[in-house]
Amino acid sequence: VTSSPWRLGDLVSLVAALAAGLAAIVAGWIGVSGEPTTSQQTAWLNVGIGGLVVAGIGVAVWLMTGRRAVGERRRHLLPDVAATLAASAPATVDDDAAEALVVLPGMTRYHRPTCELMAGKKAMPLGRRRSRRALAPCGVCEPDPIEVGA
Amino acid sequence: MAFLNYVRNQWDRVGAWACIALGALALLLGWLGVSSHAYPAEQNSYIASGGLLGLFLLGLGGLLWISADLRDEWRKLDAIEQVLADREASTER
Repeated sequence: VTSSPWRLGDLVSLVAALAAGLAAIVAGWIGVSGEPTTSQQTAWLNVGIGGLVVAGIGVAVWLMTGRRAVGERRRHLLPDVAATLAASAPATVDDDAAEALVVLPGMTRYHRPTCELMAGKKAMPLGRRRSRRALAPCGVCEPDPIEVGA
Repeated sequence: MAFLNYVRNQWDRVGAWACIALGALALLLGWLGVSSHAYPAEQNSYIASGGLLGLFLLGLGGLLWISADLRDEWRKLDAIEQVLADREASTER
């Protein structure tokens, strides 16, 4: 088990980019200070801005590398929890609760009968559905979660 | 003592705040420098120093802060992996 999302090479790249960027900013600052006119200062100002861009690229690469490493490890360790729970849920329907809820054929969520999403649609009581596919509660009417297993 | 422990444990977040504070100070000084001079040729050195250095330090502070968050998440994943490994080992016995 490693204790950081980054490798040594990532750290070396970051330090190199930050050092190069900082050096360019300081060089630009010194250069600008030593020139008397704006037309002569412009090139040095560009050096400083270039240094800021180099440092920014180094920072962006570092953060993207870290986020990618964390994301890959999370996906590896933590599979889809909702799918796992649905797959392991018992194939039962709480009859009392199901009577009070409705579902549309082929849909994946159950609703309260008064749900706005059910208005004007031919919804059927949850207990009468034939499919044994796992269902989730509607996010609009938010019915109480019940066991609707696969 | 508690403060020192906090600094030791959260060095990246403390560094982030230090960089952000220094960056804001550099930007402020650059602004004051630019405001106090009438000619662009005199103002440019403040832009090149206070402005660019301030932005650099603000970026460094953000880098340290987000890196600290990612390290925290990584450590949580370490703990989860350890629990899963222990559970797997106990079921094999």
